[in-house]
Amino acid sequence: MKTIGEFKSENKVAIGVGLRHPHYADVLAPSLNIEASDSMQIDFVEVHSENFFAQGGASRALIKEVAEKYPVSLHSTALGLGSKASIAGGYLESLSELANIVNPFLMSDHAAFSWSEIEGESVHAGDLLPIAFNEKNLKNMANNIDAVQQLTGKRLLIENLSAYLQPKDSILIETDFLVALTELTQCGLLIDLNNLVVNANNFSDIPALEYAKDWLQKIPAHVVGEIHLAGFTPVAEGELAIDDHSQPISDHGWQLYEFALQRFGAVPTLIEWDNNLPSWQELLLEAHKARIVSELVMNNE
Amino acid sequence: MNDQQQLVNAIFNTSSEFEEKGLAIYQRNLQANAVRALQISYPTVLKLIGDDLFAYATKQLLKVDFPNSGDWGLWGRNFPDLLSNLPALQEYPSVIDIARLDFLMHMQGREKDTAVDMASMTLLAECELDQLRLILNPAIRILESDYPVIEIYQANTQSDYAETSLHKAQQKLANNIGQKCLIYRPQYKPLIREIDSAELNWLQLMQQGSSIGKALDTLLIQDQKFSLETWLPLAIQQNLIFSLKKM
Repeated sequence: MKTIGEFKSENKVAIGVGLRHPHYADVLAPSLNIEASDSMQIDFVEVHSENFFAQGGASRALIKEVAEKYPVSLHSTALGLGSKASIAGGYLESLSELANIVNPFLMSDHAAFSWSEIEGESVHAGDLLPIAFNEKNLKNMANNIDAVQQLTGKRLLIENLSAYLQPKDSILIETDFLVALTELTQCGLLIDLNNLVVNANNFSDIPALEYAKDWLQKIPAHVVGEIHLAGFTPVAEGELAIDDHSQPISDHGWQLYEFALQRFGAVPTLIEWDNNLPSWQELLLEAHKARIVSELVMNNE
Repeated sequence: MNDQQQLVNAIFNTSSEFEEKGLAIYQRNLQANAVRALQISYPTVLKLIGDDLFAYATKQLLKVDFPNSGDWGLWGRNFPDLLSNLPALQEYPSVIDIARLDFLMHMQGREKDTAVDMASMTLLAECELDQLRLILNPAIRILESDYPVIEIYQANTQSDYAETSLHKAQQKLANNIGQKCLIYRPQYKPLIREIDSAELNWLQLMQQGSSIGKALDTLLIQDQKFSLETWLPLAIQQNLIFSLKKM
């Protein structure tokens, strides 16, 4: 199996899938990547870090086995890097320990907050909550990113968020905020194309594709370390779209992917599917589509 | 209160300071994530009380026991206490002990992997039993219940033995027979078995740091039948022991 570095040097896009519980047995099945056709191959897997925080037992054994077979991207959903309250020490220890075991080729989380307080009691919101894009939050988030990068010794990728509320105190535009984070901390960005479409639907009067392309134009290519592709359940006009990762990638998603690759080059790409999960074979076919699109784009460059 | 605290308060306490539709999505996400987490850590309780009461109880737990680790797998330790106060379960007290068992099994599956230090077993041939301590695997757990929790658990988790286990559970419930249970993990899968009073006392004496010799004498005085020769190989096989240590 090629390393992720080899993909980059050959100007090819590494294609991965998000590994979820129902597919644990499939990913370790011996036939995959040995006798399987090209259409059934993946180049890496991405896991939600928190699903492997157990110190031992079956999940720890599984992630070790997966890491022996594939390059692994650790995608966290609970770091809450934009939190004004501190990130719990126990969480950071668990993440750091997991990173040591897996040696991920990518580590990422979101431009979001999760840690806070209710009546003086520490609480983790259990969700990715939107932050106001302003100088104060920029500095705070940069400090948190710095701390995590120092602790793990890995560069973080920060993912743009899909949201259902817009904090009042934003004075910067999202892209400026994210780019400033990369300048302050040397972190990279994980661009989730589906989140752009969801946000366009929820907060913008501009057509989704136009909104997303304009957004992508504002991101310098050298900071982009990964692309996420996903789908969401369509909603009636005027309703808020939910980033439920429950559908195949939409036509808008594929068009944006082409555009993003033209702009950012051979960036590792992940098919993210969490709800209404298809069979492993169907998931791999979706990954294969991404490979075809990426080859068309990269061969035309 | 800063803006982030305001939003989190609104999500947990259903405040209306925020735009209603957006806030409702975060509130539904929170509840769905919480239910999903407890479905994993309390699978037997879910089967016993059904989806609706389970979701209601989870919602109640969220009001009094905030997630605070960033790992949903660690949340819900206080679920059994909450269930014990639900009027709907007042006539089903065994459910509370099943909840305790579910969470012990769940946490057992997350414990650090350990292996018996076989080299230390040579001390048995070199030292007097009064000079030796047995260090138990720190992950093992004991649950004492007034109900046949093992059979109830097995009836709901092991389809091959469901009918037999259910029958046994019903018989024991009718005769008010409770159980002492040992929860352990030989390899990756947490297991449970019944232990008698002698083994329970033995394990407690070992946990208290008694020497092997003194513990055996104590059981003898209490007229409790316990054989170290029989127990030790089983304990090694079941990964109940960490090591032997000279005192």
